[in-house]
Order: sequence, then C-alpha cells, then structure tokens
Amino acid sequence: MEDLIEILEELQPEVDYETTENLIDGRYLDSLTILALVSEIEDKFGVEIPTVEIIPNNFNSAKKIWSLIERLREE
Amino acid sequence: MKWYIRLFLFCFILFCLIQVLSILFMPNKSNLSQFGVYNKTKYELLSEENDTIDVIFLGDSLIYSSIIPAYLYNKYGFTSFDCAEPAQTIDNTLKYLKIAIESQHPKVVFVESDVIFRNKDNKIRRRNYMNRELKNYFPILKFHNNWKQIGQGQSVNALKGYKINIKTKGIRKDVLKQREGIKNSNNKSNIIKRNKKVMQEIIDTCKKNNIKIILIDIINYGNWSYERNNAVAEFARENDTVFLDTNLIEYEKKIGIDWSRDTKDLGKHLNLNGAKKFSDFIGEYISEMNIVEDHRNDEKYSQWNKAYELYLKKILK
Amino acid sequence: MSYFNSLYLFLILPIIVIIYNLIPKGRRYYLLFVNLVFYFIIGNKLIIYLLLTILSVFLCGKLMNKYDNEKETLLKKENDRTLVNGKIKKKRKLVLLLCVLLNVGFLFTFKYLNFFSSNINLLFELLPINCVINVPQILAPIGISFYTLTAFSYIIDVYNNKIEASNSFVKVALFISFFTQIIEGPFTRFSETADDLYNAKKTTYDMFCSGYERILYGLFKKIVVADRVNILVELIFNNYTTYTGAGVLLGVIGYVIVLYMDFSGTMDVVCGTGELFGVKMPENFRQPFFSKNVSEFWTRWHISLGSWFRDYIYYPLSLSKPLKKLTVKSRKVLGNHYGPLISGTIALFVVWFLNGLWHGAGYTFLFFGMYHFVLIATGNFMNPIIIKICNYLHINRKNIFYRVFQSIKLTCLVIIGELFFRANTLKDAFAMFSRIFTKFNLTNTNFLEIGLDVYDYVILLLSILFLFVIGLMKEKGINVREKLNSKKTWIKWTILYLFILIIIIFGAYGPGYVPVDPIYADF
Repeated sequence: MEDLIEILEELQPEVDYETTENLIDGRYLDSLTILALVSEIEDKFGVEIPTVEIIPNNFNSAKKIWSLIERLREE
Repeated sequence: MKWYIRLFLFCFILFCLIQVLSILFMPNKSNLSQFGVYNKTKYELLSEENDTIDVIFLGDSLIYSSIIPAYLYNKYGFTSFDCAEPAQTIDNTLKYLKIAIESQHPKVVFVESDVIFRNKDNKIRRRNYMNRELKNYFPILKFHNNWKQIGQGQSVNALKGYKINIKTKGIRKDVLKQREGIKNSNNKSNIIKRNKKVMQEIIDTCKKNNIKIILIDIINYGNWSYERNNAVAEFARENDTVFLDTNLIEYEKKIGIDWSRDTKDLGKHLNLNGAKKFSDFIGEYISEMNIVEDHRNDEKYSQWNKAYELYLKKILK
Repeated sequence: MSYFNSLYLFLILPIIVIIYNLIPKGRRYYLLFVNLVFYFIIGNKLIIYLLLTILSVFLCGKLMNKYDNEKETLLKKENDRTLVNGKIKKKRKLVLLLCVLLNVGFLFTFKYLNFFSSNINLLFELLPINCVINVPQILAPIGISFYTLTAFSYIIDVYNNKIEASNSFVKVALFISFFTQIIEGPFTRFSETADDLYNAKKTTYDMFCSGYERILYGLFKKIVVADRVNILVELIFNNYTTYTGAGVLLGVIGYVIVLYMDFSGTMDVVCGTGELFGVKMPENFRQPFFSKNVSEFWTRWHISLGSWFRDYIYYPLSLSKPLKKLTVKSRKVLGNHYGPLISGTIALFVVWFLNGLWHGAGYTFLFFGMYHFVLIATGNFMNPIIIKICNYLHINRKNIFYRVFQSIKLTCLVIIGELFFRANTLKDAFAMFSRIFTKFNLTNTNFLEIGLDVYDYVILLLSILFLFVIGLMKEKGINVREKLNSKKTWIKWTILYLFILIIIIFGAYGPGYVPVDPIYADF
C-alpha cells in the first residue's frame, strides 16, 4: 500500500491519497496519468491490468486501486 | 388508482388556464360570442373588424403565397384578406365563404380554380392536418406570438392571411420550358360533378349577396395545363362568371415573373419577391374594376396602416 | 421525426404509458412491440437492418457463452490449462471479429460508401487512371450510428467477461431498440439499462411527474431558446457575406447555443421518457461550459459518446502490448508526464479521427475531429508548463477569476470548433472565420435586422439566465426536480403551470419561425 501511494504521489503530487475518494470522478487523475500509473503498477507489482478493469470504480481511491492489485495477484 | 385522478385534475386545470389565456390573446374579441372560439381560430378572417374587408381571396397555398393584403392596401388603398389553407377542398372553400359573409360585405371574391379539381378524398398529410386542427382547439398555440403586441392596445394581424416565404429555389434557365412551347389543345380535364355543384353554390351565394365573383388561376410552374384551363373556362362560361387565368402567356409577361428568382420551390409557389409582383398585377386589376374605395386616409381603417408597418418589419427578417 | 413533436409528447406518449400500465403481465413484450412499431414508422423497411444487428450480437453473445461452458468440460479432460484457455480465447475472438465486421460493414455501406467512393474517384482523376466507381445514393436506417455502437458495447463487454451474455433475445432487443434513445442516443451500456427495461416496472405517480418535468425542461430549452436563436443562425450561415464580422460572430455563438440547447434538450426528453418506464438513462451532459479545459469539456458534453470512445478505443489501444512497451520505454527517458504522452497521443488521434467520422462523412467533420485532437494534445503537452508558469507568477489555479478565465477560453475554443462543424463547406468556414477578424465593424451592425427583435433578445437573455441558474444549482449537487417534488402540491402545481404557460406563450413556433432540425439524428 505504501508503495502504491508513493507511486501516486510521484505522478500527481497535489492530492491527499489517504482521504480522497473520487480520484477519477473528481478528475484528479487524467487519462495520461492512468496510462503511467498502469505501466508503473505492472512494473512494480508484477500483475497485468486488463483494460476491462480500467473503470472509475477501480481507481477512485488508493484503497480501491490496492484491492484491485491484490485481486489480480490472486488470479 | 388515486394518482390517475390527480393527474386528470392537473390536466383539467391546465386546460382551463389555456382556454382563458387563449381568449385573452385572441385579436378582436367583438364577434367572439357570434362565432365561438373554434371558428375564430380556424378562420383567421374573423379577427378583422366587421365590414372592413373589400376583397376576399379563397383557395389553397397559391393564394397565401402570392397575394399580400398589407402591400395591396398600402399601394392601392383597398382592403383584402387571404382566406386560404393548404390544399383547401372545395367544401371548405364554400364553408369559409359562408362564414366570411356573415361578418363582412366584400365587393369582390376571388376563388382559386384549383379547388375545383381537388377530390375530397385527396391525401392530406395526416400529421400536419392533425397539428393544424389541434391549434384550432387551443387558440393560444396560434396566437401566442401576440405577446409582443401586448401593451400596444388591440393586436393587429399584420399579414392578413398571407404567409411570408423568403426562400428562393429557382428553376435553372436551361431547364425552364417556355410557355410558348406548350401547344393549345381542345381537350379538357374532367371536373367531377359534385365539385361542379359546390362551385355553383359558391357562385350563387356570391350573386345573392351582390358580390362579384371571379375564378382565378394563380401563376405557377408545372401544375398548369391547357386542358385544365379549357375545363374551367367552359365551366365559367356556362355559369356566366369571369375566369382569370394568370398562367396564360399574355399575363405571364405582364406580371413579369422570373422563374429563377421569384419562386421558393421550383415554381410551385412564389416567394416574397414573386408575391410582390403578383400583388401588383392583381392590385391593378382590381383598381381597374372601379368598385373598391381608397381607405388610406380613413380613420376607421387606421389599423391597416399599423398592419403595413408590422408587415415591413416582418419581411426584414 | 423529432421527439419534440407536440402530438407525440402529449398524446401518443401518454397513451403508450397508460396502456403500459394497464397490462397486468408481460409488459416487457409490449415495450418491445412499441419499440419495433416506433422504428417501423420512422424507418420503414430498413427495420430489417436493426433486427439483423440485434440478432447478430445476440447470437454471437450466446456463442461465446457456449465456448465458455465448453471450457469447463475441456478442462476436466485436458490438463494443459493454458492450451485450453488459448484455444477458447481464439474461438471467442473469431466470433467477436465476425460480429464486428458484419455490423461495421452495414455502417460503412450506409454512411461512408459515398464519401469514400467519391474520394477514390477524385484520386483516380488526379492519377491518370480511367475508372469511375458509381455508388447509388442509399438511404441509411435512422439511428444506425447510435444503435450500432450500442450493440458493439454489448458484444465487447461480453467478450471481456464484463457482463454475461444474455439468454433472452427480448432483453437484448429491448436494450438496443429502446424507442426513446434510438434516434439520438445516448449510448447506454447493457449493465445500465437492460435490467430496468426487462423488469418493466409499473409507472408510479412520482415517476410520472418527474419524467414529465424533465420532458418539459427539455421542451423549454428547445422551443423557447434553440428555435428562436435558429432564425439568426440560419440567416447568417447561409448568407454570411452580407453580414459584418460582428454579425457573423453572433451567428457562430448562436449556433453553439442552438446545438447545446437542441441536443441537451433532446436528452432531457429522452431521459424523462426513460423515467416514465422506470429506466434510468445515463446523463449525456453535465454543465459542459463550466469545464476547465477541452479535455474536460468532452467528459461533460455528449458524455456517452466520449466514454464509449474512451472504453472501447482509447484504453484498449493505449494499453495494447506494443503501445504499453512504448510507454514503459519512453517513461524512462522522458519522465512521468511526457512518457505516456506518446502512446496516449497516438490513441487520441485514432479516437478523434473516428469521432469526426462518426459525426458524418465529410471534410468539415474530419476537420472538427482533428481540431479537437490538436487542442487536447497541445493541452496535455502544455499542462506542466502552465502549472510552472502559474506557480512562478503566484496564481492560484483554484481562484474564481482563474476559473472564469478558463471557462471563457474554453468557450472560445469550442465556438471555433463548432463553426467548422456547422459551416456549409470547409471553405465557407475559413471565410467566416477570417471575416470575424477582418470586417468586425461593430458600429455598422444592426442586431435588430438579423431576424430577432428586441422582445426576442429579452426573452433569450432571461431564459439563458434561468438555465444558467439551474445549471449552477446542479453543479453544486442540488437535485432541482426532487426539491420541486417535495414541495406542497399547490406550490408545485403553480410552478408547473407557470412553466408550461411560459413555454406555450414564449415558445418560438408558428409562422415566421423555423424549428431546428434534430441535429444529431443525422449522424
């Protein structure tokens, strides 16, 4: 989880990732940041995020992104 | 079930509100009790003051796209009204005439001769027809634009039945068939008996009321033929009536229609430009008959001056 | 056919709803019947293509389902998991491909064949090739660009295992052919509306009220505002050489107003109609003119089209294997912001090329797409620089003045884009554009001679102010209709009566007005 927040902060430093619950809907992360984020996560955590999973609901908060990663790891 | 009743109540109150507003927006309410809301909406002529119209034009779209009463008044001084609707049937022509002469005593009535060929069962575009009828039951739909005239006293119908169309869709010079090219033939189109009878009733009604009646065929491109002309001419002769066919070459030259500029839909109807030319022709024609007066300095007809001003404003659009 | 036909809205639609509620059982079949009759009335024989599309995605979905079930049994027999998975995946991919090809084929034949063949002929003329392809003018099925993409979203979602393929033909047919959305959208997803449609709930009083309130709101936008401004727009776009630059500018601004009011008004009617049947449609507009930049604008204007392109073109493309590799490599060299920009921009180009093409087969539309591509790509490129400049100048980017500045800048950019969208030809568009700057001549412009009088301008200003206030409330998260419906009956009714009468009296209909043709219905 800390690793993830580190990545996020590197990509977009102006957000408080502990509390924000609408990263996508509030337009804190734009599509380019998502592209960078996906490639970074795949790099660091060794998972592959299929495009189907790229929906606001999976990316709206750091917690949700983390649970997505954990889910993908299990599969 | 309860909410259906609530809904019904809502609609009922709305209906009442609309009817009250409709009457408020209706021009010239003096003859409202005589004709009722429906007729006053359907027959635009009924918004004119009683006994103020000298000439009435009855017929279909050719009438309301070719004759501009406000323009005629300003130039020749007599008052007139286009009592026309799209694809008018001859029965409606008669009906409109009867209603018109209840409140007006015109000197001349023109009837567009096309109505005599129109079969009662002719396809009328249903949806448009229903939309038009709807407006007659909810007059506000027709008169709502009068809110612009509120506070200026009695609202004035500026166009007097004329429908402005400034679009131009002319006929290319190279496709235009000159009228000289059309050969006269002795054949004539068939007029169905029933229509003949109704037309005779129209003529009789006029004669009884001391109104001069003239059958007229308004200039247009494509719909006219010698066969039709022959048929109407014969009918007119039999019934001792004047038939003015403005499609004949002599008139076409006199009117001076330029088919590349003066039509809105490849010759079927005239546009504003063409309508002015045609109105000039018909204005001269009526003036030469010497039976209508010049009202331009008459206090009683002052609303016509206002109508002309409004008309000028509208054609600037 | 426009949804704004008063006979349809206040006579036919209520009758459809009443019958819908009188039926005790099988309302979904009735709804499907209504959909098909509706389409048959507007599209006549061409309904066959709609049915083919529905049938093809339904069958392909079932086929994919079947392969998935085979997988289970195969897995029991065979031990090599990856081999089986690969085999099944291949089969499913083939089915998807066939289905998409078939429907793209229809779309292409009906909408783009003429455009492409005329271009090829032009090319042949330039090169000394003596050959002319003759393609007859064909009448396209109404709404084909809408229902085809909707059908695609279903089959792609099934392919991606995002949803399960439906076993009910009725459900799929209802989803694709819902009569209120078939002409002008919005694009819906199977997961959003299919269940509601299939369940076909009875209408309650609240549903009825709030549905019709929404319809009235749309009607207001359309006949009080859009149809009124349209007089001016028609005059100016068709005879722009007779007007000064200021007049042309007014016409172009007017067109953006017409486009927004007509389209978002239609969406209000569509969503309101959906509510009558208990279907919650996705919003297609979210106060677009409050956006910060062009890229955000497109997440607030025609949302369902933007998200369709995002989900089915942009992400699949930019996260495809080759582009992903490119991103990883370029990030190492260019850093976090500019790294993903390359593959993002490639995908963006494809999206906007297709978006332009979707709007119509013509160069003005392609130009419109490319214009937005350039704007958004430049925006992405400039963003870090702008942030740096702002920080250097100590400008707070959340400051109200900065926000207003952004909105104005955005509006100008959008207005220019829509000028190319509306102009009769590309040449006219450039001529109009330059006229605004070279012959502005404000003092010689008589704004009262462009079809509208003082009264019209007053009504327009008041209406737009009203819509702006409502927009502001929505932006703040206030549900206006809910608020209205919670008021006492007599207050609510008075407000509704006033609103209806205002529409009736101040609507721009009748002699002298030209209603806006449903702009998006042609796409």
